Amino acid sequence: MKFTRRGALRSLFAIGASFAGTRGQEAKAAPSTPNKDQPRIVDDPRLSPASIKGTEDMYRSEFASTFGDAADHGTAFHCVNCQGNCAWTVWSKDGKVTRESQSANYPAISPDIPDSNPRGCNKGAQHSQIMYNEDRLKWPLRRTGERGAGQWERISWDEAITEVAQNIYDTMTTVGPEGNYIHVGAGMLSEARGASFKRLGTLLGAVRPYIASYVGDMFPGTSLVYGEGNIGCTYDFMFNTNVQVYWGCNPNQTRIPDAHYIWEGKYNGSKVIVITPEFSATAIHADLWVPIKPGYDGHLAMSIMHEMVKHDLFDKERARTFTDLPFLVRDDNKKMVTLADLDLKWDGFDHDLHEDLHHIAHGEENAEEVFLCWDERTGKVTALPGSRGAALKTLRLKDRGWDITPALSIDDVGGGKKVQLKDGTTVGVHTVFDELKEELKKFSPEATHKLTNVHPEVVSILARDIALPEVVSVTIGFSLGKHFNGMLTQRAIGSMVALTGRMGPEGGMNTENEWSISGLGGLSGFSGKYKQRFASGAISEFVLGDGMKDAEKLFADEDMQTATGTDFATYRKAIEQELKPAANDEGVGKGKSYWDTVETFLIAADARFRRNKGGYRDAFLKKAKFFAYVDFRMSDMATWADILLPARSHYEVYDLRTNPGYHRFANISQPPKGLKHIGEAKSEWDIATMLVEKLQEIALAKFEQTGKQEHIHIPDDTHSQTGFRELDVVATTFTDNGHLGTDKQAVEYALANVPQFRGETLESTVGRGGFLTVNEQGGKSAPLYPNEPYSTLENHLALHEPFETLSGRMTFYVDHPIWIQSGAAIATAAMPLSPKRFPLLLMTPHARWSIHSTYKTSATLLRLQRGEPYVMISPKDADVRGIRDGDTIVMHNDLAEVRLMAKITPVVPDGAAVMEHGWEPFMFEGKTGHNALAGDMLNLLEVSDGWGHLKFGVHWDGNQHAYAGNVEIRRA
Amino acid sequence: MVERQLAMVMDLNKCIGCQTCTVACKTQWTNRDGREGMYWNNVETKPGQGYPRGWEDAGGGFDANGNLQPGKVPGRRSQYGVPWDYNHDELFNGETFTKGQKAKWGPNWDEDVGAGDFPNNFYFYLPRICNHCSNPACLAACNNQAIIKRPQDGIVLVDLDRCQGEQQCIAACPYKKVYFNALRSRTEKCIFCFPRIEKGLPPACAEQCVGRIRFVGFLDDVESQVYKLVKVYKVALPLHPEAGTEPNVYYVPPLSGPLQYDKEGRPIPGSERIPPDYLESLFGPEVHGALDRLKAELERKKAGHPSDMLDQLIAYSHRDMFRIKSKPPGARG
Repeated sequence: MKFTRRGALRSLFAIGASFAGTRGQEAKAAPSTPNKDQPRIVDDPRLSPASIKGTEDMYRSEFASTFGDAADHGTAFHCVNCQGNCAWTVWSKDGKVTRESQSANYPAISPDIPDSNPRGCNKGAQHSQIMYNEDRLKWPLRRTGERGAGQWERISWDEAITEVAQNIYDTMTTVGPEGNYIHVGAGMLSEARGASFKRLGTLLGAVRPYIASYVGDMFPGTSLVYGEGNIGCTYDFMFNTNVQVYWGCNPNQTRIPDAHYIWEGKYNGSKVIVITPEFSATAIHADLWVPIKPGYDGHLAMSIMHEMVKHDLFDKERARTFTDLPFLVRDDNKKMVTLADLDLKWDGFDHDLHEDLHHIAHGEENAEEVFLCWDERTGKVTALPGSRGAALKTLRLKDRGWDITPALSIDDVGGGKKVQLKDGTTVGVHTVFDELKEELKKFSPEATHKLTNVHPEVVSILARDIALPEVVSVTIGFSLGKHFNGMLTQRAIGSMVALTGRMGPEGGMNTENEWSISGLGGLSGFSGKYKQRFASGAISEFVLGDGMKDAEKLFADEDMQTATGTDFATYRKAIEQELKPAANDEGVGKGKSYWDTVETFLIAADARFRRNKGGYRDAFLKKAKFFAYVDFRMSDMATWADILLPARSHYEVYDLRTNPGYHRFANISQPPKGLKHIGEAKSEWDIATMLVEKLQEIALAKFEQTGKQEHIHIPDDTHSQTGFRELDVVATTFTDNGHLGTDKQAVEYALANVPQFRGETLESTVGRGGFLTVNEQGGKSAPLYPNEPYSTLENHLALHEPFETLSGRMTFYVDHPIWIQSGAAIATAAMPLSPKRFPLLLMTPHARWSIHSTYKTSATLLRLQRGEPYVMISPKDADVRGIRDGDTIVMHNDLAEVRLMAKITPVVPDGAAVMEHGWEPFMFEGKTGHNALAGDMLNLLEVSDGWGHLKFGVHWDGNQHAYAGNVEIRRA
Repeated sequence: MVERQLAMVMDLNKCIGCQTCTVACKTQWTNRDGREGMYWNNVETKPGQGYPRGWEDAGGGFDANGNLQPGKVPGRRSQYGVPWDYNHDELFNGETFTKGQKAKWGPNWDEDVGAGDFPNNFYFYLPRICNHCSNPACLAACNNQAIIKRPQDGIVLVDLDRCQGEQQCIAACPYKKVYFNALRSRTEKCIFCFPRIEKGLPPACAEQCVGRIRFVGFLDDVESQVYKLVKVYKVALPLHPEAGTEPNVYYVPPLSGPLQYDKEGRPIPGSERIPPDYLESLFGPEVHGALDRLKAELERKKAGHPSDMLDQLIAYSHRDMFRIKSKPPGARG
């Protein structure tokens, strides 16, 4: 019987026979009590297997040859271009990397919180597969044909370095230091490796743009409210929340290593709310998904605030203490009233209290930055402590010696109040809270419903879920800031959270936490002796790429009117007027610096032709007299260079990465023992060291020839304390006499000098899998407890420390003239900028399958997608255009035409075209990438500067926008 | 006879679709030697045609009486998709980066599509490996007795020395988790990373799973999560149990997802975004009870009560998710 069964089956077994019906139908057809006429196959005694040792040994030996020898394993991370920061172990055999595996050895901070292993992702898991690809740059190359034509000759390192150094030298001696542009791009954000060219640029006085704003990943709206854009928590904090809100982000796709905390949090009783236009990979597991109309997030935030204020869903004491809501604002011109404006002898002013506070503080006071409230207790106008200009640096409203109860609304003290100014005149005042209430009237849930597609009932749920539970975290994604008015959206959401008063252990606003890491200055700087030319990222790239030309092509007056309230020409003029004072550094401190003097470019790891919008590439190449590029592979950017310098990739160097603070660990790379290097590739530190040595040689030779001092001491009276760039000693200065010239030295420097890493060495970190735990000094505005998840702002809540804002508080009000004029003095929302004649909004969120453009060309990863660039559209949008899934389509607007594949999915709303970002232009026919369709326009509010804490720097530099380019599509 | 059985539980509520498992498996086993087009581990979006395309309609398994059912070997191009290549070398010549082969399907072709109409549509991720069945159809179907089940751990292996490449196993597997290696003229499949297990390492897909959704252990180890989730709490179920192969990979089925919306945009209380019938078609009628138990525990936890079931699923310690050291049945610790 047993034997005939197989025989009988053979006849049934027509390979390829068709089989209809689904499993489900079959299941229903099956009898509930099967009457088995065949034994279970494993009960067949014949199955006692013969030895299959041959096969088993084959697989065993395969495993052994990928694993290699554990003693040889290296450690690494892949977040040179990512924010994930995960410790990996690199397996190798006979000097060749075979594969990688997460070290998965992070310690648990508490038995009650899931540990953070095995941090990593699909991209990191395949670096080994691309590091030996045929697109690796193995030796220096010099262009022999037109730029981008793909004609190269192999040259020696000495030839290559000489040519780059000579160009840098010639530019320094003709244009000056500001003619050079030396930059490590967003492709290398790690602290050790990235410091190489930063140090070089600083030493030579070259221009360096700010990365976060040119990639459009800033949180300027959050900075406005909190004085700091990067606030929030480590992701393990999510585990103990009551509600988690993910707004404009898709952590299941873009925070892969951290996402488990969200769902473990859900199992721990937390409610997960996702607010995104598309039914994202995160939304599918949420408790509530809010399908918002893209670009109207600010309107929703205002509506939620409307609901909170209307139904008293906020803590008034918190608002009085920690926000500027009680500050007095003039009725006539909407300016805040400062202590400097007031007649101090006026009897309505609480002069005694002011004196008392001054006495207690013993500090300096700047009356222009001291703000006033109406004290409910005394009925008098009172100068509040805690603002930037206040002598007393606390947010405490009550202590020994003072007791203030600021009126939130002027109506709370009877209304119709006036204050007496220095010139003796009186002026009517109200509060910032009154401003807010007035503004919120425009944003009732019923009024915003049509714009946002969010029903008032949902707004009501959101208001209560955010305001009422004990611990609520509101996370916003980078996509919000990619809309033209996205800064206002970030600010509206930030204000909404500020209204709830949540800080520290109660959760609150979460963007992207950063640790406070000190002691790294010496890696890229020279104790202030030499300064870089630090340029605005968003603005300098816009200017360099002739962004205004594209904007003019794409945006009609009508579009600008909708988004800004003025026509294109007027808006443009206002922008240009704002930009002028800081052009070419003429106005340091007067705005956002940028230089249009640059002609020689030395850039590493920066896919700017992929990233930037419209016609950027053409404009850049026209302005670049010389362009040297450093990369480990023939990326799209590399194909356009004059000289290509081959770099080592992630497993071939020593490196260190700390921030951002999704977790509390810093990761360290060390190459596997005995690694055979690829071609003649060198680390960026080695390249920089070779360059300064050559530069010194060139300068000294020239000096020997001419005897002219200016040939070794390049004048620089704005950015060098000595007034010069001393090229005769540039090599020894760079390496600090041989102490700092390699990637390994850079890591050792960091381990020796960063107090937050205290006590760690290369050996100790590599031994445990390539990481260390940032110690208690890593917390910025909250303590970093050893056994609790981190959450910012606790120091404000618990210790009443002022915020780094002008008001010293969470800030709702900006009385900068441009902001008042734009109707944006108080938190508000504005319409998106989008060319109306194209019906589909092109959205290009961060990718699951690449780290921006890194790994976009990985066959391993491409085989897990469609294998080529594709855009997702809704079934309806496809249907009306006669497009089928998999069709090649043309996506177009006034700026460009791009050919790619259509993928049809109901995940995407009608009226949208969604594609993962990062596709390299050379992956498209004609090498025109999708960002060629994305025009941009500078936002006047983001450009404005010089008010309180809104001054050019790492927290206030606007954003390059990406979601302003609408498109139409058709079948190719 | 099989003395002990290793099993895996995958929690679909924690799966984020990142495919780190797929890539980990690929670099461990299938990036070479004729296996390039194989995905011993794949993750597919459900509902969807999956990988290989339409595998659920390709037959195999047993009927209720234990008789093998006919099945077919999926088409290489149309159902698996070729592992397409690229011209990385030509980037030095100024060429555009292009796919060497025209592709009509691949292992993740219908990623994030699913079913239904926006905004009430639905999908979830389903990772799949060989189920290392207790009643393997592949084994039953092999003419050459080339498929065995290891006595010490129940891992199902194709003996490459006896395999003649006749592919009955592929047709017979209702999950289409056996693949043909054209280079070797043999079939190959997931080996549950037994060489890693023998060295004390969990399977690559499980150890490297970033969502922490995979538990591995012996089904007779009462301390193991697989035992608790499968036997005690009964929240982990086999896929397509009606195929009669008795899989040893179990799934915690997906909760229904966010509330649906009515025409005006109001959330519909108690609405089920993923149709229960659809889940039943995947996991059998037991799925309703399993989800009810899971939901009840979630309510308990929300109300502040402890839940051992959820604590197991939370998996506080990554290392403790794997209990793979072979011990005699009944042994503790």
